Amino acid sequence: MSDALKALNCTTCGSPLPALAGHRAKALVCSYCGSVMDRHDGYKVLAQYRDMPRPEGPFALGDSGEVLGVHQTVVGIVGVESYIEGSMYYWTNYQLYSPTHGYSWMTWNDGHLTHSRKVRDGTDHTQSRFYPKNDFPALGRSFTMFESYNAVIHYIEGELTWVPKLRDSVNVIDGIAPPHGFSLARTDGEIETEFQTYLNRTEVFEAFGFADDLPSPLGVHAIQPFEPGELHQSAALAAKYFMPIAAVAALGLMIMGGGSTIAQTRIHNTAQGGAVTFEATSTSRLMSIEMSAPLRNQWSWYDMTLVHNESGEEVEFGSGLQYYSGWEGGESWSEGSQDATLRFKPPQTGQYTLRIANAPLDNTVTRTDRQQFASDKPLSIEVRQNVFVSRYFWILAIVLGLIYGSMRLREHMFETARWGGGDDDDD
Amino acid sequence: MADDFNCPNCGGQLSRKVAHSKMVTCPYCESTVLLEDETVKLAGVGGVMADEPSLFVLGRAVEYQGESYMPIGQARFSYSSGWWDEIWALDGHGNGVWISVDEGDIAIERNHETDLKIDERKLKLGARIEFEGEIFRVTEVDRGKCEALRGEFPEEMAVGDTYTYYHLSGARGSLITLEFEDGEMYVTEGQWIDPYEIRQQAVEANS
Repeated sequence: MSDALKALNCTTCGSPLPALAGHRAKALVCSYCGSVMDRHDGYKVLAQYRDMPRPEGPFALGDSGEVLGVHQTVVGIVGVESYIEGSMYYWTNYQLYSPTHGYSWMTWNDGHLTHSRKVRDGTDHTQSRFYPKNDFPALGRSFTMFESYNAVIHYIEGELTWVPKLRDSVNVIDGIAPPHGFSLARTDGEIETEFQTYLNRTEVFEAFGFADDLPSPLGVHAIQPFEPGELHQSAALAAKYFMPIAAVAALGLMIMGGGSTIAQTRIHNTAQGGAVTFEATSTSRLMSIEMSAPLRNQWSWYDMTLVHNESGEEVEFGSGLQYYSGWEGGESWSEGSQDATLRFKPPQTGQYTLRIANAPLDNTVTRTDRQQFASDKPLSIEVRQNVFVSRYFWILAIVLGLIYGSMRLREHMFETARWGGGDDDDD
Repeated sequence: MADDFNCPNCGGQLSRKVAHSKMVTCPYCESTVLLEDETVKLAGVGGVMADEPSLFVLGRAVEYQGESYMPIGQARFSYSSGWWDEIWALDGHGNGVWISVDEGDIAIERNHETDLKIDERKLKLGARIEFEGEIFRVTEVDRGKCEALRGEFPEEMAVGDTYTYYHLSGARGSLITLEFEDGEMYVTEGQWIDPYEIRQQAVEANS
């Protein structure tokens, strides 16, 4: 625990070295000459490793701050490398010390920060077998095996809980359950297990008293949680629950929202025209005019006038129908429709008359179009009231679906990036 | 006997929290006081306990995995590479447990009655020992010396007492501590616990 000794001199080169760890730290490695000293045996020099290349990382011996709610001090540094699937990877482990919580590690890996601590999970892993992407239990939860590799020490400095040797290696199996991980390190028949937590880098830097002005972390870390941002997450959550509601509402309106027929007629000679009279009882509800004509490779245009009988106010508008079909290359085709629907809100209640007749063709109409113009086909008119439109709910359902889908897509891409670095299986 | 009494050394008002406590330390004169049936007897001195940051503070309950523990006694021992605390605490059922605290290595242990006899000479560091059907490895052998006492305890303890202890670790994180005295073997068994899961993490000096 707390040592009165706060600094000492290297017994080899005499350089001043900080004494930051408690009594359980076994080794002290000189930052200057690389001498490995036995803290439990009068700082006797056990080995010396000169000119070790210092690993990348933001922390130095003596840096301190809060990690996972516990005040910690960096007392040792270990540079680690591993050759995985044809590539060499490097990361830096910082030995942390807390008088109340003991020793743990903070790891700097491509700009990501993780914390790991030794745990005894109550499981005998000596007989366990691990397969990529298979789940295994530990610490009362399930972890997915991510990768296995041999980690080799290439740099040591400061106070460490064991006596390290340069180039020592350990076989590691990593399991993940973001934002946590569970690792098994196997050496000489012994298995040590560690529990890991992905750290918010900015928060840690702030706790250690320096600004996070380093480049953003590279890629996705194995135990990095998917954090899409509060706004997108909230929107996707809302979309997840409201999208089915909107779709059901749209479907319901499509089936039930056609309203009720209040007038209908059939105009046999559309060139002469015809009319239909109906009563509008509400100005807030939609009404519709359903038009249908048995056109065959024809088109037609109808001028319409809606007259409010009591006031004499008129509204003029028009609508056309065209329908063409045929066979081409052994397949049938068609375009246009024999039906059309016009929706409107009556400007006032009362009786209306809808007058319909073919529009006269002017000189701009081509001969072919004149020949295909239908004035001899009967036109069925049906006026309906209390009509509801489902299209807006469909649009809403689609928009919500896109929001939710974009979240799932982002998550899928995130997971793909995560597993890009892990052991692959056969699937 | 009554739970309130006077220190036989300084007359200070003392009390014990647990009826079966056998020893308390006097906060006024740092004497240790033995409680035997109807008598109160001066035993020795409590020694000087340097204040250190700790998750366990006498009289302040902590919680671990849903179980509460109330520390009522603190014994400090020195050993070859430093020192550790043995905290005598009551769990939520009023049962006593020993909590060993050594720089974040924390174990909760309970007294374990056994008829098994283990030859102390076989307890070499690294040796594999079968104990009640489970294989353990001897992971620590050292001598501890009691340096200071504070609070109350279920047994007589004295500053200056020394003994050899053996830690036996099982494959599933279980822990057994063996101590030998006058040909008798005393066993405590328990588990290592994760300090990060201890709630009410008041990191402050003992008062």
